[in-house]
Amino acid sequence: MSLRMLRAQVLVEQRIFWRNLSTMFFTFVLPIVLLVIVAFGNGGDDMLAMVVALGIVSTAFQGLTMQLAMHRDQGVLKGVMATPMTPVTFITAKVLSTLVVVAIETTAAVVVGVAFADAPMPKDPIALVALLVVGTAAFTAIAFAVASVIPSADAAPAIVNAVYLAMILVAAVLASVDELPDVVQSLGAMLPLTGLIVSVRDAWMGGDHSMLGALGVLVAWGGAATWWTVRRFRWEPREALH
Amino acid sequence: MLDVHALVKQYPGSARRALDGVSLRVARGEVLGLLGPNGAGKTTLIETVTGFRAADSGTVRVLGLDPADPAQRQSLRRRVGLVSQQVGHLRYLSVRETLEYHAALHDDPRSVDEVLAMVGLDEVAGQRVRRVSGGQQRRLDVAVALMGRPELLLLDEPTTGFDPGARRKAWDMIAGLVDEGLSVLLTTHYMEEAARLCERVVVLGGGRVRGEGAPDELARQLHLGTMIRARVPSRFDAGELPESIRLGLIEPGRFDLRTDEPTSALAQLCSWAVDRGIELDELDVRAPSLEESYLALTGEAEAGVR
Repeated sequence: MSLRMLRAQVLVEQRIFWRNLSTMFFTFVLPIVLLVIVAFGNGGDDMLAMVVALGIVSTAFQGLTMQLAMHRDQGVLKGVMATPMTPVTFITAKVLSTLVVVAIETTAAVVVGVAFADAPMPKDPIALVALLVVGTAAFTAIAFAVASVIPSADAAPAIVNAVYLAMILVAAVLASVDELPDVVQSLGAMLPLTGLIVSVRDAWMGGDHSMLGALGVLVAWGGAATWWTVRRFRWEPREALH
Repeated sequence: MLDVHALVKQYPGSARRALDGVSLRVARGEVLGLLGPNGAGKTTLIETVTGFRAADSGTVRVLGLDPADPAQRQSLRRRVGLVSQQVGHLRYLSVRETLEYHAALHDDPRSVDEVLAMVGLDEVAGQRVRRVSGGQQRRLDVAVALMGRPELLLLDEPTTGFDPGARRKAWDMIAGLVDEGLSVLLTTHYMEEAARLCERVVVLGGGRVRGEGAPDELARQLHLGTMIRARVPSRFDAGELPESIRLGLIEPGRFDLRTDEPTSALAQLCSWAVDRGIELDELDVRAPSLEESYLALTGEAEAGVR
């Protein structure tokens, strides 16, 4: 991998992220608005952890999947692949650029949580950083995998938001209700977002869930998504042929 | 430079082959024109050369590299520039930022200012790509393809949508690059463009090569003949004209002849006219154009498909 190309791609990703106001609003501003509502509404520790996790998923999954579908239809992805840029460098740059956004969001969440919602400073900052990195990489891989099955940019919002809402609903129920049967809870822990919320909460507020287990779940999802992406991802619009 | 041999490609679900045994070569410093109606296989060929599409059979070598081999594709794409309407650019970057980005993707890029001047985008360099006109975006396509100092440039309908002035400027720029040793494979629907830029053209139809040669040589191959046209006052009796020339009188008042012996035909027509004091208004003697060759070749191609 060429570092010069990686640097150029990350710079470009950052520029287009902050300049596109509509995607920037939904993936960056909205989680922070939620955060403030939660902090002042005494939403509790669970909700703060959920906002951090949502920041990761909205940026790395929701925003990125839509962007990939749009850039594919506009021929941008094909244009990049016509240059010496490799898919691995390109995807790595997407992960790194998303990490920048996620790091800002998480810092904001911790500052607001500590200052206004009586949350403690993160108990296990190393685990929290590891979760952000692995979570971002895993959800970026899931974004590429889901974009692989999206036929066109027109179809992207419906598919992406359906998956996103389903993840949020399941996670919200599983992560916040402790009285559920053990079987349901352990199944929930196998889902990427649920596992992420629970482990972010533990790393921040302290808890007894297995951190390595949560990271393992994310790595497994990321690995499966990468496997699918390698086989099925298209860099060109479907109707490109003549 | 580029060597395509017996290339065959059939898309899944399609009843006919998009490419049906196409062979062609582009020598170093040569401009080869690839002509043919929509669906003739031009874009499929370019896609195969860039490694976006795998052929069913046949071989492609670009600068000695095999685009079908993922391991060779990256080094190939360092040395080949692609201009295609299927390629887009990030709308939220400025024109200059787009070129700076592409400069960073190459080891020995051209300077951004040099390329901006070459394609005439220096005045809109600071504008976002989404704000510049369609013609300027097409020129950005060319600018991006030139950033890496390619040895081979693939131009897939590069001037579609250009106004005549912009098209002429694009031709001058391409001709200038070719003078410096660039090799070009060009697809176009503009015969004037092919005649102006290409040393040789290949005419595709129904996935096959229907004709090949220098633009003016194709007509000779096809025996299209020279066109002689004039207005002839209809009151004159043409009975004294030799049979072969009289054929040109297709309707009263109009003379329209295609001949392989234009000199003697013209001499006979003119001496007949001079003897009678007839003025041949709008006398026009023209070598057959590339367009006529193209239509003859692809018309034949369509008939062959049916």
